[in-house]
Amino acid sequence: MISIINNFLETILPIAYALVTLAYGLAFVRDDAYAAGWRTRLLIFTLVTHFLYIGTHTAEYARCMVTTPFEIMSLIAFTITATYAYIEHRTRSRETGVFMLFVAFMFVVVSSVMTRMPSTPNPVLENNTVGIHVSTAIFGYGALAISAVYSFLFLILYRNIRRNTFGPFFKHLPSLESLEKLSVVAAAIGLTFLTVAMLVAMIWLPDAIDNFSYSDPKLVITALVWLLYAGVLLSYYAFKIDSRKIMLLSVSGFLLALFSMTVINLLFSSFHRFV
Amino acid sequence: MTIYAVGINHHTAPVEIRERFALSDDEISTALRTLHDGILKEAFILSTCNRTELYGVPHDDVETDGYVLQDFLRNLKPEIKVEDKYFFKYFTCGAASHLFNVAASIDSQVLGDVQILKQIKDAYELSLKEGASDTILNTLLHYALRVGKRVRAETSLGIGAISISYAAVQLAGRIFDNIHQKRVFLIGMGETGLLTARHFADRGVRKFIFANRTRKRAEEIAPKFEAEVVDFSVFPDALREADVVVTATSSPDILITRSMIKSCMKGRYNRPLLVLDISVPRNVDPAAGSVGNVFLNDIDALQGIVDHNISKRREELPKAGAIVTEELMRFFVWYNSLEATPTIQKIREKFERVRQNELERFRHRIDEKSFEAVELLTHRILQKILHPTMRSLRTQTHDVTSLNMTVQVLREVFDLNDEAPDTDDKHVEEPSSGEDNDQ
Repeated sequence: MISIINNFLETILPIAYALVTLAYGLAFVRDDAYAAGWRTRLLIFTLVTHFLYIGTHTAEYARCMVTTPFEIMSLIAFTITATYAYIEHRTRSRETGVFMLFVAFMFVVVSSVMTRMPSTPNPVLENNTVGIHVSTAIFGYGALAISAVYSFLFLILYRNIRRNTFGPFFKHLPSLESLEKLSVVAAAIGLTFLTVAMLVAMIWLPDAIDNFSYSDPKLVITALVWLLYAGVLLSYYAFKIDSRKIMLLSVSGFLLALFSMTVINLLFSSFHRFV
Repeated sequence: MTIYAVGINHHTAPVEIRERFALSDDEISTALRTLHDGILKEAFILSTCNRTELYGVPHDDVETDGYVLQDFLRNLKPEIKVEDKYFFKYFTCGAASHLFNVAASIDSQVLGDVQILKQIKDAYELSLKEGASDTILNTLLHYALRVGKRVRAETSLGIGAISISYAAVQLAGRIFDNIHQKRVFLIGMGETGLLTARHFADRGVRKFIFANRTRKRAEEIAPKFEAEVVDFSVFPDALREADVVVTATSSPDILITRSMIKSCMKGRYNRPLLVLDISVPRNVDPAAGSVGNVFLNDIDALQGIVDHNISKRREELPKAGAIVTEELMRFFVWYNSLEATPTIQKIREKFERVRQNELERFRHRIDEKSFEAVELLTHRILQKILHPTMRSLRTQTHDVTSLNMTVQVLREVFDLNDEAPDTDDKHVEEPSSGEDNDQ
């Protein structure tokens, strides 16, 4: 029974994300009143569906959704959506929703298409410290994704203003200063979680895994991501460099994280794969 | 029963006529009292800088037409010679349609003007205060105000800056988070520059720096904005302090160079700087716009925002027009029901008279308790018989021809034509949306 429900939720989850992204998109681009009226309801429906999916998936396989990068992607999508829903509820601003939800949608699509289920859980994952490592990493990457979206929006609006293009981005987006602040705050939160995840991993991994190596591509790229985001924060708070460059750095950091999560995981053999 | 609308507006009369023809509240009050005591049963006057319009419903027994009202309006300002060609005249459907278009700001000179709805509301309150507005105009104005509110809520007709000076403020709002905490530096005391400063002040900006070739002129204006005045020769130093720089001078030279901006940005830790060059010829070197975090916009760029917003507002016209049509239809369902109201009243009275007469004849044959039961029974029977007729009349109010035919048939069938028609407005009812209330 759980399996049937899980399969059903797994099927409708990308559809729900597609619909909610479309609703926010239509409201943003076309000022569509009908889409605007439905978007928040669809967002709640999507969040609830995703929450139930995490529950049924956990129940069916009797383990947390942390075994594959694609399960983690689903959790990151949930984190982005939940964080965005909180921001929308607090600020009543719905204009950045389409971009946040599009990123979440992409994570969900990749996750749904690529999810592979191991028949038996890896014993490494039974260690309690793994929970802290994985959950902080998920929160960290979720926050970095949000930071990257705000940075991306900053760059679009910056370009629009410089080129005197006054379309929907100019009309709807928050100010450049707001987008910059939101991006930097999200980056600071993301970096904090990522730091905790890395510290926990450095304590736990060498003892837990036989073939552990500090030169593992996954670890090297993660360290680079950490350095890039540290650079973002230093540039903003200490060096006061041009905002556009800071935002470019933030987007680059996230793209690198995404590269690490997908290409590196697929192409390079790493102790960091538990399948 | 006709509704008249007579007046002048920006479509019919030039500004030199309109501006002199505008009426003060006192003049409107006097005019409303005169009209109400004389030719009109109901009156309402809307007077703004762009329009002076009289809406009226004449007394049943007073002969009047649009020309009489036009002459009345003209005589309010006898010193101005307003020719007939400057007046418009609308009747009933045209009058209601015009008022709804005005309320929707479709008819405004500045499409989507946000002031007009408040002006109608104020004018309506004045009319109510003078006792000049009654059932018909009250309902018409309620519908008009609803049109205005719906257009604001359901369309983007009033959204976006449509003047150069306000576009500058809109642009600043896309760069800065809290505009009211920013410092605006105005170079040159030109009209557009001052208007821009006024818009910034309206958005809560309290920190202004003024510089003008003639320092005295800047000092004269500065107190209104609580602005600091700096010498024109040292204005490059003030650039560092400002978040928004507005140049509005008549100088033919470049006053702000790229190097000035570059050195100023170093001193301000790369905080964003918005430079609005609204002078023609331009006063800021266009190359200054390539410096990071500097947003340089000239008058053409601001005009681009204005043009974009105007075209966006135009795109909203069909939506606003649909709201006007929808509310017009609703209004006329009610308005047409006025034609049926006296007939409904007569039918009810006639049947009630028959019932009462028959009951009186019956009264002494039974005891009091039984009589009350019979009275209740006959009342209910009567209501049930009349209900389909009443409902039929009310549901036909969207079609005047069909309504008039039904009214005529009913008057023939129930022999009501011999009775004097009762058009007393005390009997006027709001249209019922559902079943007959008396059932």
